[in-house]
Amino acid sequence: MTQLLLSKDLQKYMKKHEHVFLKVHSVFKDAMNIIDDKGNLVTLVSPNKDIAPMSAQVSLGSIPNQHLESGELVEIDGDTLLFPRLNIKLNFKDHEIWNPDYQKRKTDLSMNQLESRVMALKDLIETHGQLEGIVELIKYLDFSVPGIVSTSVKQDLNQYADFIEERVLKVLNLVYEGNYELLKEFIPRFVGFGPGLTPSTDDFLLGLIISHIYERRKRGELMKDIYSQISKVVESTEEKTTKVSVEMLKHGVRGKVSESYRLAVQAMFYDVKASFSKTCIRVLQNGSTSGSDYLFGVYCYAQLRLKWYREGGI
Amino acid sequence: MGLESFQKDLISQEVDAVQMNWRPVAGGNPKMIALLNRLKG
Amino acid sequence: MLISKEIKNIDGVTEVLVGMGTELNIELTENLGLMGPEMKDVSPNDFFIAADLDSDETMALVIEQVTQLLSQKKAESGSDYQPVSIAGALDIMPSANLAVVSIPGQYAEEEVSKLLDNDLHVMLFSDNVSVEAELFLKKKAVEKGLLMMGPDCGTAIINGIPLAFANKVKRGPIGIVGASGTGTQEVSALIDTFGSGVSQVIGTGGRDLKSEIGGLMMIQGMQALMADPETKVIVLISKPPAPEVAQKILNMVGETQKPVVVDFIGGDAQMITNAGAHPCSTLEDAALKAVALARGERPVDSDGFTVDESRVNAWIEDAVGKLKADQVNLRGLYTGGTLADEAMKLLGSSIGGIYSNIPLSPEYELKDLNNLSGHVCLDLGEDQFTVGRPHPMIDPSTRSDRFETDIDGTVAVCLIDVVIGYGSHEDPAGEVAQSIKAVKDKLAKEDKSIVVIASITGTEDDPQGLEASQKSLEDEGVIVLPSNAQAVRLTKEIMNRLPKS
Repeated sequence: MTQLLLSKDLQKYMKKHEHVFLKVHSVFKDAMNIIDDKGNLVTLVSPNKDIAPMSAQVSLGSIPNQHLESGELVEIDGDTLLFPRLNIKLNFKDHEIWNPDYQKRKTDLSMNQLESRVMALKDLIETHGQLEGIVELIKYLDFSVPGIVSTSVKQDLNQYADFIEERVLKVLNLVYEGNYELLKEFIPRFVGFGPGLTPSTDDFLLGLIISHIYERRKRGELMKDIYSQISKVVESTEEKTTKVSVEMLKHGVRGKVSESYRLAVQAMFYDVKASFSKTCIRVLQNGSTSGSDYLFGVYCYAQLRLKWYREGGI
Repeated sequence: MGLESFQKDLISQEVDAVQMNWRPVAGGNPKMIALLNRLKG
Repeated sequence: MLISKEIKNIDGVTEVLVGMGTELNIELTENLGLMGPEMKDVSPNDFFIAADLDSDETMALVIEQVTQLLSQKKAESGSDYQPVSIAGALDIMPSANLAVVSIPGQYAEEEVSKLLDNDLHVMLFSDNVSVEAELFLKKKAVEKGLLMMGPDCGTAIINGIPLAFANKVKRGPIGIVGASGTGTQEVSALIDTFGSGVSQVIGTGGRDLKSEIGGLMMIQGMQALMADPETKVIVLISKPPAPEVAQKILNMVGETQKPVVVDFIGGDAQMITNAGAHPCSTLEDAALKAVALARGERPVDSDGFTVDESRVNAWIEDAVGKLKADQVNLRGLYTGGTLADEAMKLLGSSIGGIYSNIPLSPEYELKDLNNLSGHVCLDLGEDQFTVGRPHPMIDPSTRSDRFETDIDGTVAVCLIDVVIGYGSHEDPAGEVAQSIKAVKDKLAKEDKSIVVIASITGTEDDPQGLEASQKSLEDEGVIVLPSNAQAVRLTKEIMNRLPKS
């Protein structure tokens, strides 16, 4: 029986707040979100699901999901989580700790290797991904010309891709130019769009951000204050997108994502042992459009990276 | 369309197979079905 | 997979948008002309469905489908999503070229018609489909050059993949078109056992060779095999067809250079020989002849055993030795109808009349299924045994129950089939072995034992494994023969040595 995982930041949170009262935020088949009065989300997932920041894997079989009500009281007491109405206690003291923080990998990639990864990723997304959302744009983006453009013709795109196309191009051009000031202003007009329970543009942004952090950091070019500014912007988007997304992006700008998402980015930008296509396929099969949108973001960042190299020798 | 065990057996052999969630039109109500069929012409 | 496109494929839906109530998603809703007054109350953490459709019923269906999608948030193994419509299924898998249909018969005609319209071959497992519907669908399929296997078709192996109730058989040069499920399984499995393999195994459904249908699928299947470069030998399996249909099919033998083996189980052998094809006496015989022809050898009539003669004699001596004087009856408990039929035909009148629910002649029809006497051979897959229960190949408990009620101190030999492979129970041999143990324990109290003779229809590559299944049975003292024909022959030898009842 594999060990159940507890995210380090959640462990810290539970230790810090001796006794906290929270409420059930949302309940799904394999996951549940709980929210405290400061708006922090704590997530419980079933053991077969990805571990993520502020999450813990629990045998959800021990919790009758269908009987929990949104807004219902939950208590955290030391290393125990309690559902008072149903009198169910979850204990985390035997959990294995998972660290969501940035993890360096030693070996770097050459530009040639990155280029073949990029081609492979595009292929994987087109074969195994959800192209019914914004990811359809992957077929039409052209990074080879000055100013990233789309070669699509009106009737090519589904309604989501069609709507968001211009804004995706804008985001990519701003990142390419390094114009983070304008990017910051633009983010509130970009988040919260697309089908699914986590809007596509949010997952796309996450892909861009995590790739940015992981790829830059190995070059010693971490832009800490840019990230913290973006973080503030993200926090201000509470009105524009879902709570779950905002939390996900807040962790994201600190370089923290779920295990499978992290593995995919590491496999993309480092020379790691893990099979590149396996890690990507695992992400692509991860819940509705989220995985595809995320990898689409990773793909776009990688294309930008190659572009910087081609055009600026960086 | 129908018994899920047939699809599961195919998946176990690594054959691509999609299981449909088939239900009779109009909840199987024969009168409704006849009406709908007349509408389709 | 939360995709608007899939919901859009539901009949009656013109346009639909699903998503969280974020500013941009609402903007898109506006752009698509799907706004409604309710949208002003929607917040980013609310999930909405905005649709342009024809009725409240359709909206209810849309909501149900979306709810199903929402509650199926993914496990790692990929999509659990089950599309409601054929168009939706084709969206997910545009490369699909075959559909397996097992819905209630009265709905099958319309669905299969749609599938054929979409250029899919169909395997129709459903029964209770009218003759008119079958004719309509088969004509359509023939027109479009598609297969419509069924109705009541339970066995096919296409491109090496077993469909529904079928075995994992090695690939090879022998192509089969079969109107009988377990008959086809027995022949294909034996081809594997005898060292060869199959190219394609096409089912036609049980009624194909009746005059109303005219053998449309058998002809279609045969033409396909005639043109298939991988197929070097063709085998046709069916209960005796209507005479004019048999003639139509046999006429095609002249149109091909490939050798054709025809098993019209118990039918007119002369007619087959006249047509230039090879007739057979049993399903095993069909398999053996096909394998010989595939090897370029002359096919010989098979009779007797492929097991060492000394072993066979030992079995016979042992059996006759341990049976008491009042043990004179045969009990055949079969899950496969064709195998039960073959057993009764092979036994003929040599042991006396055999009562059955599928008797060879009307005077031997079993009136009372609960009070058996004399020789009995049952097809437990027939309707009277499957009311409200799954077929005994899937659920062995029907046969287990019959072991208890049908085996008494007057029984000498119990003859059974054990069908493994896809679709079958996960361990039919194990289940039968348990029943046999229980029966033997019960009879031991009367100081009696019975002889149980079985054949296993299946291959080593089947999930249950031929060898493992054989071991389960032999561990319980069951005599296992390589084919139904041989199991029946051994039964005949033993029965004939016993005092007549």
